[in-house]
Order: sequence, then structure tokens, then C-alpha cells
Amino acid sequence: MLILSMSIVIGILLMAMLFFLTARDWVEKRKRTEEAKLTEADETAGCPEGFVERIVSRDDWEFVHKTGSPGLENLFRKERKDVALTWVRETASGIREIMKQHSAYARQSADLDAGTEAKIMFLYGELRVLCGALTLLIHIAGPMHARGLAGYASKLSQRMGETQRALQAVAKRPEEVYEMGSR
Amino acid sequence: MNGKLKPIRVDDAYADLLERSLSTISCDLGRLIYLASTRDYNTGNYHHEGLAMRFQPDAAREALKIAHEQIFLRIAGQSLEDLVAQLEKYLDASRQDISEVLRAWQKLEPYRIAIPMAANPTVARFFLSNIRLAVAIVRHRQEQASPSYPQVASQPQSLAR
Repeated sequence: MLILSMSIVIGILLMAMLFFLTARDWVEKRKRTEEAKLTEADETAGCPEGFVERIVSRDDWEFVHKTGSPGLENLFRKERKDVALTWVRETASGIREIMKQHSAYARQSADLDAGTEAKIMFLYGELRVLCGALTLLIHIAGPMHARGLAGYASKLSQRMGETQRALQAVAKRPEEVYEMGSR
Repeated sequence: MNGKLKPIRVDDAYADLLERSLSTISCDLGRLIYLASTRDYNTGNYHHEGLAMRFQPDAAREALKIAHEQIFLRIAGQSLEDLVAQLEKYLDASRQDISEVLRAWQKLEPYRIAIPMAANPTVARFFLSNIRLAVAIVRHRQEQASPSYPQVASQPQSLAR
């Protein structure tokens, strides 16, 4: 009887250990996937530095204008409009992905700072509105007239990516204090 | 970067690639097309027989990938004027019928395969757009220079956008 009870207890302990190890692996795997997704989102959120300025720059337009060909001018306007809209779409999708990942991290975090969360939400809202305004402006007036707004949106989306990365780093090392808005 | 590689081997392979292969090509556009041609269409892996023999195959692959990405970014960031100059240089060096090459580039857009796998989507779109414009501009210049040049619309007839 004693041997049977011992065997049952050992069996339960082994099962519990197996369950614990499997669950730990699953959590680790999930965490790694989420981190990989976040890195992917960071990459798509931002165009390399200087490219947004190049897309909306007037220099190329002046070069095309010098050819004196209305066909080339039309082609240029169409091409630049398409590229600018691609950039706005990519930026919007990148910040949506960052926000999704941030929400996942926030749900797991034990010590959320309400002020920081509000600032991130505000930044996200501002960027979404900016993307909408940029799409409209590019459709109506063309990308060259959206230079200022495009530059601002580009800087803001980079800041959002950096903020998320910094928050993620702090979540991994809780002893460090991160002050948002210091940049 | 692959963690198993010794970084020094990649650096050596990269320097060798620049010195032996890329320096003999007259312009960045030519270098870009050359590097894209070392990539397998199915797997996306780079292969260069000589480089793989002199260094480890992994180091050679990584060096080709780095060189491809760097030259791509350099070309994508160029002004349209510089790109047109690059294209003219490339066409001169190709020793082929320029009008035929331009027609093929407008119809088939073979330069699409020159985009590295890890390229940012906006940068890739910007590169394609600029090449399309550069081809149309060079073609326009050819038409202006010789009235007998076959007249076609400047608008590229892309098969697949």
C-alpha cells in the first residue's frame, strides 16, 4: 500500500515537473516571438534617415522640369505620389504594430506609470492623425507640398520607436529608471 | 550576422570583393546588378565561386550580402540627376544597343531583382520609381538627340506593379 502511494506521489511530482518545464518553454518561446515581431515593427516603422526628405524634395522635380517634357513631369508627379503614399502606409502600419506590442508588454508589466502610458497614447494618436492628414495632403496637393508635415511625422515615428525600445529595455532591467520626454 | 562566423573572415572577404571584383565595374549601378546576379533566385542566398574558395563559403555569402545592401542604399539615396548619369554610364559600358536595352528595361523592369531581401519597403519602392524615371529621362534624351530614334511613350509599360 505504502509503495503504491509513493509511486502515485512520485508520478504526480513528475507530471507537475513536466508541466512546469513545458509551460516555461512555451512562455520563453512566446516572449522570443514577441520580441522578434517588435524588432520587425521597428524596422518597418522607420525609413532610413534622409529618405523621407529625398521623397518630398524639390531638387528632383527641378531636374525633371528642365527636360521640358510634360510626359516626364506627369510621370514624376505620379511616381512620387505613389512612393509618398507607400511611406505613409508603411509608417501607419509600423506604429500600429509598435502600439500592439507595447500593449502586450503593458499587460504583463506590474508597475505601469500612468503618465508615461498617457504620453505614449498621445504620441500614437498624434501620429495616426498626422498619417491621415498626410494622405489627404499628398492626394490633393502632391508630396512636395507635404514636406514640413512629412518631416515632422518621420521624426515623431522614430521617437515612438525609440520610446518603445527604451521602455522594453527598462522592463528587462527594472533597476534602471527611464524618464520619458527627456529627449 | 551568423554567430558561427569569425567577423575577421567576413571583413577580409568583403575587402577582397571590393578590390578584385567591384573595383573593375565602372559604376555603382553596374555593381548593384552584378551583386544581385550572385544571388540564387530560389533561395536568396549569395554565391561567388572565387570568394567562397579564398574564404569560408559563409563569409563569402555574408560579404556579398553586405556589399549588395550598401550599394543598394547608396543608389536609392542618390538624386535623380546622379542616377541618370549612372544609368548612362552603365549603358555605355554594356556595349549593347542602347535603345534595345532601354526598351527592355521599360517593358520588363529587370532591375526589380536588384533589390536586397532585407530592404525597407519604402526605400525599395523609391528605388524602383527612380530607376523607372531615369530610364524614361534617358530615353527622352535619346529621342531628342536623334529624331530617327523609335518614338514611344515615356510612360513605362510595367507588366507587374
